[in-house]
Amino acid sequence: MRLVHRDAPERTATVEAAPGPALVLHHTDAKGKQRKKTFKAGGKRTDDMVAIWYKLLRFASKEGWVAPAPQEGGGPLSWLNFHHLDSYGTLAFTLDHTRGHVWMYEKRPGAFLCRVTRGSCEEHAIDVRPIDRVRELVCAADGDLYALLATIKRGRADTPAWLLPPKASTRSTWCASTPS
Amino acid sequence: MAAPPEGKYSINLVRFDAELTPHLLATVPTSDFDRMLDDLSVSSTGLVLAPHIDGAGLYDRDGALLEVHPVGRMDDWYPKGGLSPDGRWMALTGPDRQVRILDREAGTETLAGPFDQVLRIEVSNGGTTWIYGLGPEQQWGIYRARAGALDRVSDNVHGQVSPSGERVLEVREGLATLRAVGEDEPLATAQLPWLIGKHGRSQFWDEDHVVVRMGGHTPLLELDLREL
Repeated sequence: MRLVHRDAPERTATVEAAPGPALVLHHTDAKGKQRKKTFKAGGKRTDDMVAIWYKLLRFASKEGWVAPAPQEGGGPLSWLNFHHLDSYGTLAFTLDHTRGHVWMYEKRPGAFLCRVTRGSCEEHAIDVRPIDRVRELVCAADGDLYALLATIKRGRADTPAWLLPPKASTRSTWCASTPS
Repeated sequence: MAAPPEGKYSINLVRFDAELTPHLLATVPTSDFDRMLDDLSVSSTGLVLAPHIDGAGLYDRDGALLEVHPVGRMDDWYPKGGLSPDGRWMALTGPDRQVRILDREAGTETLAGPFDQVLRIEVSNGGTTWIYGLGPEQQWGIYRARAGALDRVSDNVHGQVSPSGERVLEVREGLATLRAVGEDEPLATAQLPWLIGKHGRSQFWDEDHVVVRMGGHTPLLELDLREL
């Protein structure tokens, strides 16, 4: 696998298998120095390649490495996006078929809607705090993104201020029980 | 105007436009997820199927409420639903372990089931409904409901049906498997050693390209199914 650094594309890294089994990450640090880091599984399952890949991906993600497409050797992988340093993972995602974007909801902590352009690692993030959770995410055919944003309140439902109009509105924002 | 009902949770239906400006379409306060849709579906005609305090609400793109439908939950999952891309067909989990499939144009309804669990519902134009769950005879899988018939097309509830409805992609434990709908023998498989996770969730760009999420702490990736 070939990697480039998210902030400095001239920095590159490669992943190679090694006896052990192990994986070796050859990379260039911020000062341009060649580095090598070996990953092995701990505990009793020393042959657990999944655990080894997990360790490597965590480190690579933490250090800002991404895997651009296409990867050498072909294969089915055509694009891959790494997570941010402190991401808890992508909890929901949807595709913008019209514009070629992938929308993701990530907890990093905090809550972010991230838009990644297909085939690149260019990212645009929207901070949606203090939303507690994005329950669903759907991109419409016209490119608009729809989201169910959940907030947890102490005894009373509320809506985050950033979602409300700038001035007080007379329009009810809660659902009437009778259709219009 | 009556005061809005109180609830421990507040579900906000929000639309982000092309400039990423948020538009709050509706807020649903609730403390009871059992009787409210826990799903979101958007048609290409601008209809939005989303939670409503009395079940499922059908909204327009500006948040005007057009219809309200009751829903029911299954054992471990909150109520689910789906809307066809053309907005004509809608499917919702009901209170009687049945999935209700509604033809909004004809005003007719058919039932599919029984289901003890429903994780997801997808509806195609023409009314074919894909139900991911624990269906008749206590079998997990992907079920296809069409023209009043229900058949199980995959035993992997974590698979994903392709846009044509002819293939299913399953990704688990780093193994991607492509099958023809209803067939046990795979069309193709690929071991993807850098993939981690018990089950992958995938969405198709088109018939040959799919984006896969393997779970927390793992990257999103795109597969070219022609290369499997």
